[in-house]
Amino acid sequence: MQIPSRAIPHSELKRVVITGLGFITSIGNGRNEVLRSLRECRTGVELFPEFAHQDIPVKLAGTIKEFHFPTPYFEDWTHPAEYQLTREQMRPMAPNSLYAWCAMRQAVESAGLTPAQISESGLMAASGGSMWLAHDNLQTMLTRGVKRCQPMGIINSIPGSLHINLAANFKIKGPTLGFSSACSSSAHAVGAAFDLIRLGRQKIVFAVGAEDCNKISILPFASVRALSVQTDPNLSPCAFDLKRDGFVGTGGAAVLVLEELEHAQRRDATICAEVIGWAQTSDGYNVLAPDPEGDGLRRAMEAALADAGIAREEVDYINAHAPSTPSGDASEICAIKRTFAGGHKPNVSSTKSLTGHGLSLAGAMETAFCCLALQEKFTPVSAHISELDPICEGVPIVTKPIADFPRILLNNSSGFGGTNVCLALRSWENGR
Amino acid sequence: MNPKLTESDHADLKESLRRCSPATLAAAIRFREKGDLDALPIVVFGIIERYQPATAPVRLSAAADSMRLIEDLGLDSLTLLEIVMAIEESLKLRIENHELREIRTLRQLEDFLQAKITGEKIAAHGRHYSREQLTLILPQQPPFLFLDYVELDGDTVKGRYTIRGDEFFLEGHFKNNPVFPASIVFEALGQTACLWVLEQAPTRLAKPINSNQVFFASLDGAHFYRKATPGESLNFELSLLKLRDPLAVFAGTVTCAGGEVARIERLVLAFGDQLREEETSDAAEIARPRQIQATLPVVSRNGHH
Repeated sequence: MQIPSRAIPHSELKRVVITGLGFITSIGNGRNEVLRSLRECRTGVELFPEFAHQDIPVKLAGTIKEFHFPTPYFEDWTHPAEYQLTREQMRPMAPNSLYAWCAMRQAVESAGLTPAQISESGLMAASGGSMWLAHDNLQTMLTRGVKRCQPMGIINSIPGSLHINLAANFKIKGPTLGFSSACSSSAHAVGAAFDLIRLGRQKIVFAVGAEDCNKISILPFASVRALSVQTDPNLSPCAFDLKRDGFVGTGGAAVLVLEELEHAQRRDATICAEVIGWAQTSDGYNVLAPDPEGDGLRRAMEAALADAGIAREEVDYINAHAPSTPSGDASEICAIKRTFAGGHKPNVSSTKSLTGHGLSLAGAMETAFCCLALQEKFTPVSAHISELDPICEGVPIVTKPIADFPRILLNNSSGFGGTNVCLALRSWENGR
Repeated sequence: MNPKLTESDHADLKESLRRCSPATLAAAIRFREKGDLDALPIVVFGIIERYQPATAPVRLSAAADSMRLIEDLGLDSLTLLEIVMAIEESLKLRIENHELREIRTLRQLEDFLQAKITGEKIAAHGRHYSREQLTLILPQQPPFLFLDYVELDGDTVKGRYTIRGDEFFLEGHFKNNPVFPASIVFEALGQTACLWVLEQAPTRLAKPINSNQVFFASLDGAHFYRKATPGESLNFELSLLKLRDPLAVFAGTVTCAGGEVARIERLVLAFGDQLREEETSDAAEIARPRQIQATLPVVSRNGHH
């Protein structure tokens, strides 16, 4: 299939940079903690008390620390004291929107945005919604009656709940959208935010991914045997390892502030990285399984390179989607081998081996990790590999910390139904 | 006599009154098992207190009966809905949407529940408004509020005002001979009609009417029979003749100590957010008696005839 060329000449598009980040993740609830976890290879995965029951075959999750949701009533929830929310703010929220609210606060602060600048911005958000609260709301309706439903029972649980909550709370008045493309959702959100700015339609757009982290958001994946049944958090997830047996679920939120370069420079913002291109494709193959040849992802990577106007040889690192499922990792390795069929092969790692798989959150979270790698000059490691899968031969999987650091990188995301997104980022150094 | 609550009733009640004080739960049990009406305010206050935001300007314990639930106690309309649901569940009542819309103050909420439970029909006895409550609803405020009390019952509204003697205009009307002016008597009748429009028309027309959106339109067949002086109480009574968006037409009388003070054949108030100055004067034109006997022209909400 032919790779589509850039429809609008490079010279007519605005340049887009990332000027703010926010993290509520299994490996840290803030930039510094996340950075340390990535550099020191510290896992966010642990035995998850919600999975303790003997009938549950899955035991691990990438838990979000300092947040507790003992009941569906928001008044019973706890979160770090630095985040102050009123009853009215909490009432329409689910865990995913609460995580995202906190991550938004970090992003806004790190980008140094004024309330007026936030109001002029757009918001591209991705979440699977809260199946936990949806379940509780519907259970109430069916067992206690329609009139007993919580007034906020829709707003707090539908997938759109995320951008509904954030737009209202942060008084965002630009375009607001929710993305639902399974595990590539928030990568699509980053790409859409990038396009809005590139085309000159917005100066600032928030890209947000967020997911609940509980048994209702994670365990349904056990029915397709997609989840790891490993019980030792130091062994799983282990993308690209021969013994990988499925992904480990996680939740949390990640926020990126995308901004037009000139706008960022005018206000003297700190630039984390530049977004230089992206592409999206579909496998057109199967509702669950990825194309074994990785054809859809290969096309996405090639189109992203063309969109960014860079050569294969310039790519230093790929943050792989690699959820640690047998078929997913194999398909991606195949796609990487075919895209980089010539001599040069970029370093490859999966940060999901440390965090777990954040589903709709994954794309934005990993793009934010990539920003840290570019800005702080390190290559994230692919953790827990003791026996590399032979299919990876010829691909430099980063199994241990290396001195090499990326200047240009790709971030891959793929989802059920064969949705593929590849984002291309470049480090920002000395004004270029 | 109500039967003793079962274990599952207890569990349900506990669930409905989550995060309420133990005294609230105990009062709800007393009410449900023994029908103890004294327990009612404890339950209602307990529920409101549980939902009141910590940042509210007035704490419930310090709140007067006339405290408005939304403006003074810091509750938003959704919290009010949560409160109503908790009250419904714990007291086993059903509060309809239109009933909910009419409750603005703590006192009204209590009165409403009391009436609902004892089976006394509020409508049959009318709804009562103290001067304090009236100041919360009417746009007219002291020193230009000439009502002490209003009773509203269906299409009829009755008001009362006792002439104090220290009203500012009595000083010159007349010098050394204070007589309550006829124009103010008609004004007071108009204020009574205004209350009817604000309290009844929104429900009947299913549209909100703000207190600053009610205007005097016309007065026809006004007669004045007898003067009233300080110390006397004026009684106002109005009956609705016609309600058709954006006009309400009333007939009214004013009595004092059994004698008729004044009478108005047609008092017309105009209301709505789209009414501009010229349209209200149009409405006054329309409301002339010989024209009003023909059909009232319908003015749509966007102001087009």
